Amino acid sequence: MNSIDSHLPFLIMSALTLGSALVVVRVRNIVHAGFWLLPCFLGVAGLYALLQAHFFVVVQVLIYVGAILVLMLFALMLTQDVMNPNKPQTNRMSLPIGVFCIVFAAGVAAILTGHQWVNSNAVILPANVQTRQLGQALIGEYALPFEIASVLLLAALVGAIVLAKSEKEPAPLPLPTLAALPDSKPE
Amino acid sequence: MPAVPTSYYLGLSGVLFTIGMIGVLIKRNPIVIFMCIELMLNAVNLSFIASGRHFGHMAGQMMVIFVMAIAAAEVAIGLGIIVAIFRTKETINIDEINLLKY
Amino acid sequence: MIIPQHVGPIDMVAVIPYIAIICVLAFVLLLVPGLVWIERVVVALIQDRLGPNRVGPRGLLQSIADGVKLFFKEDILPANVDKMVYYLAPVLVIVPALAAGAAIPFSIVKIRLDSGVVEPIPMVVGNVNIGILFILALTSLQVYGIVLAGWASNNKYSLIGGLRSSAQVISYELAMSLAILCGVFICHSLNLVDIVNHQGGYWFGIIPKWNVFQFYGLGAVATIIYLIAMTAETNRAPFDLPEAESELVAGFHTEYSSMKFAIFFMGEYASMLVVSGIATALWFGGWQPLFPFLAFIPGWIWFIGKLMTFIMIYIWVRATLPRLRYDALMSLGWKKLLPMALVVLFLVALVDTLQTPSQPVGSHVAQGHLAASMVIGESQR
Repeated sequence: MNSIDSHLPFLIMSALTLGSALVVVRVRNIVHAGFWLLPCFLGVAGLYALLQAHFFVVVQVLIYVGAILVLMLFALMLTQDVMNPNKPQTNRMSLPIGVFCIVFAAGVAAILTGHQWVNSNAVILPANVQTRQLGQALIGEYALPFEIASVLLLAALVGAIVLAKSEKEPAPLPLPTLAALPDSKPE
Repeated sequence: MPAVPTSYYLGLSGVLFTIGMIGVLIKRNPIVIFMCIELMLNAVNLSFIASGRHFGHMAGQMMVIFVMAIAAAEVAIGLGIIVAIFRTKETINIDEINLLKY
Repeated sequence: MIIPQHVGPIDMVAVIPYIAIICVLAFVLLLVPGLVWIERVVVALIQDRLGPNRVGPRGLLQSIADGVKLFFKEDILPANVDKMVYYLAPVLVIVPALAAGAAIPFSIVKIRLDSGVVEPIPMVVGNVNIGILFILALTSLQVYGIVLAGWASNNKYSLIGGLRSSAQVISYELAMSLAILCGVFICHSLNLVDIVNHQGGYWFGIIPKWNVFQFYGLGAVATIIYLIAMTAETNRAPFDLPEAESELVAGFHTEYSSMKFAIFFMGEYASMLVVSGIATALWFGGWQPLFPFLAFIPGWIWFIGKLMTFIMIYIWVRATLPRLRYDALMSLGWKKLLPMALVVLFLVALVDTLQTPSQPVGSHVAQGHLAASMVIGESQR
């Protein structure tokens, strides 16, 4: 009983995450799938909060919910009406894939139950210390991966611009100058 | 209050990863496939952070930062490609996009 | 004024967050009718019209009458809408705005603890350690309400409004986050209470050490970038493309009537108050008085005064500037504000590093760097 009580936040968050993840996979309307990703990501953010990783709660909301998901919804709306929700959304390989995934899940379960778990005695630092350490490690110990990640992001930025640019783009209309506006002197 | 054991988080992460994997393998719309990839990445992030807390080490959290950066780059490029394909082929059903060149 | 810790049976230190909750909610929700009235009166003054003058003295009760009217109107559900999403959208507009208000410290009270020590306690619902990131995250949630409303209404004007809004909010969020990071660099903290405390004190005993005056004018540039971006973030004129009435009827809330429309309206004003609150706390010293000899005025009056100044600027800008064309909006966001914000951020980091050479290579630099690169990375459409 006591154990259930203390695990209650975890149970709620995991139910939220897994439930909405299942809906994302099951639902036929793709825009609904996008919307159901929202509670799923928020659930993961809640789990981060339970793990005392406060910085990542905020980053999860900021990046996954605030940016990635919005981009996806945007792309969904740009390519709308192509995927009719009444058509099947899945390909013909469902059965073998189902079997494969069950085997995979069983494998994960076997590994997890087979391991001897010891209780962690690691000290959890307060949020501001954690964030500070994270920043210092990014500049110090992890400087090289950090720079590589920034180069990657730059490459993605350039790539996205090249992709989004259509080949023969019409010249942008010049902005009207004040002189070009009709004279609006009161008579 | 006894903390939730790390193994619970790892189990949850495994289930979430499997759900995402099913989605990636059976869906037809590449944007939905992207969503499911994000589910898988979230599962991985969760296990990284849980392990990071378990061992009291920063490496777990650090990995998550890089995973998020890569996820962001991937989404930007991927969605750009999808929109470009949609412009030229009027479809984004991946069963029909089977030409390497258009 | 110093309050003892125990007033009767009440422990003031424990009670303050609850007082703050009530203050924030009451302030935001009760002020909206007043704001609507102020806006209509001021716009009328600028445009040389009479403005509201029928209901109550000087039209003061006009917004109350409007509210009552909206409340009793028929709640229309258009055909073929996506019901769940349609009802969810107004909620998603107002909840993040109110929740973001929780992290904004709006005053400080001095409390004499039982031990006899006088301690300043900030009036804030949750003194979040990474408060500024928390607020950024919540304001980025607001776009969902608009996108959902646009999509669920099953109306092309709504959809276009929703699409415009998502593109606009994502674009201007970058410049806004980078500008906010400048403030974070100046104060070396992500905690809003620390940020406001850092801005106490005066140069030459007269110029307040607010962030806007810091770093040889760089703070002022960042402030201006923030102010422009915050106008775009809240979809206000001249950036009100998502609801441009001359081309999109009413944009994303075309199909909403009755209280659901009122909630969209309230959400817009609530988010105006929230971003103005951030501007106040981050750049204009929160509850810190303008001049040292005005320190007798309580902090919350200073905060509200500064907040209302921003609201007045909002209204003034709305009445003055015409709406931008959409491509002009995008090129302003991406080609002018974003590079400018990046340059300012770089210069602020440079100045900061030169000013504090003894520090180990700064953690705050790393935090900012990290957040900046991630923010830029992910929204490149």
